[in-house]
Amino acid sequence: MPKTASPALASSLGALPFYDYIIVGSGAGGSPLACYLAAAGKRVLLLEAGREWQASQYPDNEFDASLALMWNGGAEPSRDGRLTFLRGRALGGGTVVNQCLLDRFDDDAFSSWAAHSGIASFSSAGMARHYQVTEAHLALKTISERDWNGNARLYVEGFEKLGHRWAPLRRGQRHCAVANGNDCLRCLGGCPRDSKQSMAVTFLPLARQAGADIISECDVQGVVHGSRSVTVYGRRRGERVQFHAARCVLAAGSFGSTALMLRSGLGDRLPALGQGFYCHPQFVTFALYDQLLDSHRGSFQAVKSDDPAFRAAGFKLENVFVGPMGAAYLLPGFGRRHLATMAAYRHLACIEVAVRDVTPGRIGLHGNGRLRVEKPVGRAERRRARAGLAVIEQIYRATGARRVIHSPFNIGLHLMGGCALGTRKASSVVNPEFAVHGLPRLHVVDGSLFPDAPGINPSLTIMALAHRAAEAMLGATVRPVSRMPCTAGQEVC
Amino acid sequence: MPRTEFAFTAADRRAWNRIGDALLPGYPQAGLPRFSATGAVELLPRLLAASPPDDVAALRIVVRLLAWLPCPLIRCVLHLLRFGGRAGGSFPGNACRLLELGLRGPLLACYYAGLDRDAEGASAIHTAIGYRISCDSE
Repeated sequence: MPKTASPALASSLGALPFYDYIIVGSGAGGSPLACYLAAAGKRVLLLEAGREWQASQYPDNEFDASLALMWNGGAEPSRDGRLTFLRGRALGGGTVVNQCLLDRFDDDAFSSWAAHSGIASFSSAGMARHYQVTEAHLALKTISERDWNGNARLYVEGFEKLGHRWAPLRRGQRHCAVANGNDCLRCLGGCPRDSKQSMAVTFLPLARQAGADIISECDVQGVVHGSRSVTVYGRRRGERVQFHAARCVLAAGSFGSTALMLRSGLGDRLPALGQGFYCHPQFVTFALYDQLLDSHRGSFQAVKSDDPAFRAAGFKLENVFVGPMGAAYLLPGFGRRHLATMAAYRHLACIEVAVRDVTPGRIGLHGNGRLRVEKPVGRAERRRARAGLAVIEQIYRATGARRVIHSPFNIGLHLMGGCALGTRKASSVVNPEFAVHGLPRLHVVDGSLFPDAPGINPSLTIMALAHRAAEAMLGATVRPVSRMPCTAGQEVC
Repeated sequence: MPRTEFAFTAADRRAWNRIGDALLPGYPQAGLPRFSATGAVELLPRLLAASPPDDVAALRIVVRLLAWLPCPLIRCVLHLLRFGGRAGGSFPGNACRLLELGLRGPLLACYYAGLDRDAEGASAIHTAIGYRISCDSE
């Protein structure tokens, strides 16, 4: 029974069928799931609030990229202003604007998940097959020493002088050609080479190939769970729209999925909804050197800490850098001293502490329906941050920094929790089969499922969870989906 | 969706430029001009249009009030916000932190956006700090 609320939409998109699955959100959870379900013959509709971009269309500057590809223009503060969150808004979700660092979780992360969720199959062995299938769809590269910039070299020099373990980063990328002068900082605003393995170049084309319908610029506002179907309603380019399916999957991320359920009036029946929000708070430290570092050039993030002592202490040190807007924002103060530091941009190094947070935050709504995020930086987080910052100070001193500059501004890029997976309704929102407790037609598959903070970049595991969810929904083993060869005359295949 | 229209009056422009000059007074030794000399204020309507309307409305009132103050006093207020935000506690810490973000964020973003491009497409500010990146699409 084809239905749309808007004749304009119906005419532009054709008559829309009653779907087997509507998936809300096209990030690391929604896109793989759409791909697997469509490849299994299900009728799938994927809805995304952001717009679709071709590689050649991504903005070429930080300002326009923030406005065009991020929610609320690029920065959303927590209620107390201690943290600023960034989240992507584009077809492909956060994978379009993240750094695409794709590590598997370790036993420590999974054993913590198993304990929090009551799901014993959370283990490295239990997730191995889901990772394998996911990785079969991605080009994964380890950044080689040839592509290091001055910031990476200092990072490694400091680690080796102090006897800490480091490792090269594994990144989802195909052909960055850094040796030819390409700078990967650009792809934080969308990769113009289609090299970064965002959903836009990996799972989304496969989902389309398998027959999934994809509608971008559709802002979903609520879900109605019926006894036989689910109705999803919202707005697309100012028009009211609604879609119908047997099942709906929320994959709009921690903030998006949680807020959507709260706006749909499900807060009263799900006591854990919005609880248990984590974000790996990041404490950024710059240092000024006499020599040119050009930390923004080439592979601006190439190596990582790999020290068991850091893992045990609940933090990792990230070799990162940012563009001028980001650097200016993170550097403390204002006035001529701030300008003088920015004038030395090419001499700046940067390392940040990413803390494995244990103090849960809470996602809720203000009376006007606006998102409200409370995320305390507790005693444990401050202790972990101090331990990491002390190591950074030592690295900078050991490598000849002229001045060390701690940023007073903390950021959260890995938005996790709010709709935790678990066996008990009192402490979780979604059951082990990825259905919301008591609402068998409503599912969640994204980072909001995380029962706690793993201390490891979440993207790859969100994709692996999508594979696990697809198998739970289909009741069958799901194999990798192959790209079909192009046929003559096809522009996209 | 971000709103595409935003009423940004001449009074708003003057007020933001005044606060911008207190925040970014220029650093001629490095070729960095003061905020109001860059035209960066013209980017603000687009940025504010992407922000929640109630935040923008509140910020507009604060900016207009602040702009009445002499420049040294504006700098004092910015210092107070900075130290008030570090002080902890929900009041006045929360308000100081959020206001500091609301004032610093847009002004720094517009100044360092690099959209002050000349006929060759070069930004004077990016040139002054030595920032240039490239990425060939092929």
